[in-house]
Amino acid sequence: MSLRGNDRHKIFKIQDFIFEKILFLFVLLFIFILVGLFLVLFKESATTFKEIGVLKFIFGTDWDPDEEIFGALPHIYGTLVTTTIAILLATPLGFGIAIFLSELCPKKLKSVIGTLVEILAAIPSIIYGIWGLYVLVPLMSKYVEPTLHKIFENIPILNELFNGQMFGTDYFTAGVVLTFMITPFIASVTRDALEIVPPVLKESAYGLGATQTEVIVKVMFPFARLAILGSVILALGRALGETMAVTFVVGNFPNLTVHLFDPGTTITSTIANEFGEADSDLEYSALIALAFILLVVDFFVLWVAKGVFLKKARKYNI
Amino acid sequence: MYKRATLVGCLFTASVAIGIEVNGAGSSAIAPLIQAWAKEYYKETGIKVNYQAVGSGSGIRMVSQRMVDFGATDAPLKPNQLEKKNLLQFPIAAFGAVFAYNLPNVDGLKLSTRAVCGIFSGKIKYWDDPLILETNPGKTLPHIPILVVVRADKSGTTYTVTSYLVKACKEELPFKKPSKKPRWGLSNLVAAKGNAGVAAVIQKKFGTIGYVEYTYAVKGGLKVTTLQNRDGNYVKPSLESFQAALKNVHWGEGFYADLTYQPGSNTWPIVGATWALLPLEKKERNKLVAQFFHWGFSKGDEKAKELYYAPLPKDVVNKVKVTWCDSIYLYNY
Repeated sequence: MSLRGNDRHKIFKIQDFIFEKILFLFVLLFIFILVGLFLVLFKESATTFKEIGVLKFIFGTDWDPDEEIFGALPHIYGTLVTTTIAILLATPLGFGIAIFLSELCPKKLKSVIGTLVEILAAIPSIIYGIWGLYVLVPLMSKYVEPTLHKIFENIPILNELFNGQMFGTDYFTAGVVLTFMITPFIASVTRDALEIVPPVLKESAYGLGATQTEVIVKVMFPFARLAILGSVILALGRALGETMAVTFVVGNFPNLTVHLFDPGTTITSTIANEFGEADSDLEYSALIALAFILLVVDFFVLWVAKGVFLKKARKYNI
Repeated sequence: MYKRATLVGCLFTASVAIGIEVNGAGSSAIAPLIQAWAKEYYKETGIKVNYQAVGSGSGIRMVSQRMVDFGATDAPLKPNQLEKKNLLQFPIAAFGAVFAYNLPNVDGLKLSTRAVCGIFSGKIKYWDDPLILETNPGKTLPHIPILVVVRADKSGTTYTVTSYLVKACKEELPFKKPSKKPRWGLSNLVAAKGNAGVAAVIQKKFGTIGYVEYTYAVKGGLKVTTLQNRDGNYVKPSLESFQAALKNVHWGEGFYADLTYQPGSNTWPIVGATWALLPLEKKERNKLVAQFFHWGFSKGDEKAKELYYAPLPKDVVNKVKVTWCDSIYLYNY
């Protein structure tokens, strides 16, 4: 039995309608989760904001649960410092790997190295943490940090940055572990972006006598910059929220210092360290307030990254 | 209203019952023991005991909100808190914390109480300090800085160690009361996450000293110090010296007690315990929990020793049983 065209058309219409609504439900679900997250975090942290005061909590430099003193600034500072180190180190590294993979790498090695980089991106963070503590921390305290300290000893500002106790568990090591975690993200997305640059563009540039460096820097990167910026923003998001790996190597000590070789803490590692043993209701609430602040910082950073940089990039697109 | 009972008439042994589950949560220090007990218990009775190692603080929170059948905490609640939350408290087992160190050519380091206090108050900065040399004649200690390794996370182990330090050192320390995460006030400090993290740092770094639960020192093959106890004797850490600490403990109301720095010639000075917390009004569930711990107290000693926990002495176990009898079986509202 065959259906008349009219009926078929009707069925397709209903199908489309249901399909569309289901997809819309999916989206709605995630909007609800996000809004719910915000509301719950805000509700649970209300005690802190009421009892301590919003500004006093955010700009408080002291954190002592025994005395019920809670200040978020050292934690926010630590999160921003480790993330900054990671982005500063990972961006050039990731770009370098991507360029090598898409332009310079012999064909045979290409897929092998590409897969290896992707595997690095999939390694659970606890493994980076354990590796960081057992392998990286001793190396940092014994060789890397003393060397850096010596190199920058006589340069103002930098000699303060590359200074501190040098026990290996500090802001710098945490930044380096984060670098290893986010570089694969930047590298693999950037590589994919560079690979879809139309050959015609590259060939025309070569035809005009451009060198390989010029082609990469002046033709391929501008063409792929949207995706590349996207990869950096994604990496930024991951670095801001990373918990386990950082907790293992950051030293876990609320510390407002410019010395990168001193122990510090981040929002996430403080929550991980203290949530299970939070005794008073105020402490519990203060930890949730930290989470709330992280969410706000996260939003703010992503908003700036997307709103400012992506817009600029889009404006000058070809 | 309230009737004091003898143990006769209180039936603690569970009959075989399939499909019943008991849920607990709290201290991670006691988790290996409860989980080992639960496995055996399940084989014998068919009753499943689930235990989540979420940390003492969360354990207290969860049992206060009646989310679990029992909580477990490394720092006991005071009687007034128990009353406020309507909880029953009793000890489960004790464990010792030890000082582990990394000095490759020095075995069997002996520390006097004065030396320990010197290290934790920041007065002793180098390994060849006269106070350390004094108790270690014939050993060559290097002139290198002492690096103190502590817990980065809030922990019951830290609470135990700091209550020992506060009692033993009195005025010298920067902190005045026991804490799960005190302000150490030291500059030669490394903080690592968990017992395993502290053990790892000590293992890797020359010149470190730090505290871990005994199990982790044994498992990690770390060198541990001999300590001077309250009676002035030098004692090696062992299950016997941990149990010796339990002999003279004064158990207060709700079994509130501080096990550190107890008198006794063979007593290890840094001993802590884990306490179970039960919601008083849930009599039927409490019977299941009491049956489980009764099984643990009577049949679980070997397992406990295997995992380096010090089982409770018989008289304490009997006191706990009397409490169960009074408050779970005969308590009237």
